[in-house]
Amino acid sequence: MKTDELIDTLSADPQRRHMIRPLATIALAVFLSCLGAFIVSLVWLGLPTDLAHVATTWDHGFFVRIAFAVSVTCCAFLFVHDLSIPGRRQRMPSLVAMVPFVLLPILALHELSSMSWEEWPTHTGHASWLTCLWQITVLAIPAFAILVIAVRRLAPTDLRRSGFYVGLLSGSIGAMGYILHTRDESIAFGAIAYPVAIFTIAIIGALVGPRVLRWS
Amino acid sequence: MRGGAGSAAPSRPSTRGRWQQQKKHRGVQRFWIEIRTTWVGARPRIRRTAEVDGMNSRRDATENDLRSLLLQGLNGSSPAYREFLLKLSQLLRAYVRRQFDRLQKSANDAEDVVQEALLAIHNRRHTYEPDLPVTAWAYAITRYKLIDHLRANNHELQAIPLEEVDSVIDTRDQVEAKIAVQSVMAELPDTLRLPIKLVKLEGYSAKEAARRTGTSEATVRVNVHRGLKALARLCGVKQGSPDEN
Repeated sequence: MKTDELIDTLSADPQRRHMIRPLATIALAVFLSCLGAFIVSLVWLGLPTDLAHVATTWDHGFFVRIAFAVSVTCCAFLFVHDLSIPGRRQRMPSLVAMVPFVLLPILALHELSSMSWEEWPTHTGHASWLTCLWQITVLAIPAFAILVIAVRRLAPTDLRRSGFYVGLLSGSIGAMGYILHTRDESIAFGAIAYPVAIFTIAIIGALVGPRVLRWS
Repeated sequence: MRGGAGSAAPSRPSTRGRWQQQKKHRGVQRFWIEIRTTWVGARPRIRRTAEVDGMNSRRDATENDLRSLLLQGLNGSSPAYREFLLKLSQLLRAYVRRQFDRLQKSANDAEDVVQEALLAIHNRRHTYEPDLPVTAWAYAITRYKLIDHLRANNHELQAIPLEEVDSVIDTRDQVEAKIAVQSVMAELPDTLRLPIKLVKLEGYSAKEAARRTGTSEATVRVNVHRGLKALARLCGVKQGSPDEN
């Protein structure tokens, strides 16, 4: 087919079919995946009995952990948005996404410094590691699926990097769901376990990205 | 800022030398640029000269032109959209040809890539946001399609079945040898040619060849020997037997 004919065919209906803007598409996907992670967490793991207790006693450990997950989600959201639009520059350097991962260990060290050496092992290792890792991963799966569907409707051109940030985003959403359910875990434990889980999902995302995010 | 054209000429040899020096470390350099631009967020600094300014203003003119046409098109103006696609296709054609050239591939498929890119741009036009440079957006999609195309073609090359590869491998020498042997053999009398053909070319044992020709094993051996001598004489070899097997 000649290119001119193609242009004639294409210019027959120039109006955009999808009126939803890219930002709205991804925001909707993030909202849906947060909702999904929350529901799965509620049904599968059950909410902690002492959420009211947390609110009344101002348990700062809980707030630090949830703030970590939310900030990673926000950063990854912006990166996924920028990467899903061809030719758009990242609005902020990638190092910004690493800031929460640096701040959390600092807060954990601050927390640990207030107690004696003997208490450290019990403080970092009381929860089951494997449970944390695989529960975050399972909670991230629906989020990952929803985000992949949303990003495929847009036009990512750097599939590996997009896959990485989609993984980071869904991992942090999974961590959010996990944090809501879990009880009295220290910041020190979270500082090691959550980044491990989130980065595992991000790396899986980078590996499968070129396959699952391909559009034509 | 130093003046453009005047200072550019004497500095050219030194920059070229530096570039060739850097070429050795291109992998490292590329990694470093990647770190600086995407991780730290540095923008490449381009020295402003009259030349660069001229290029920028020309690019801006194209850009503004395309942008207004596209925005009109997205608001439902079919002729403006057609004009946009036509102008864009010229830019993309030049870009794709340049890339094919750089990769030292023949530009036969360039038009295919342009068409695929135009189709993708049309199908993904909802990802265009008015604050985005149209050319950057369109080139990014074209680059994606180009890489897709190159990768698909590589797969095609790898996926050719073995029988087809067989004909691609250069067998000219073997064929020439076969023709030469056949033309020489044609000059032998039948009684000598048949034993040689069976024993030396087709690999039958002397016993089997004897059974097929209806003679004895000894006769076959003698005739092979005589035939080879006759062949040697025909080929102009003075003594010993030429290796016909």
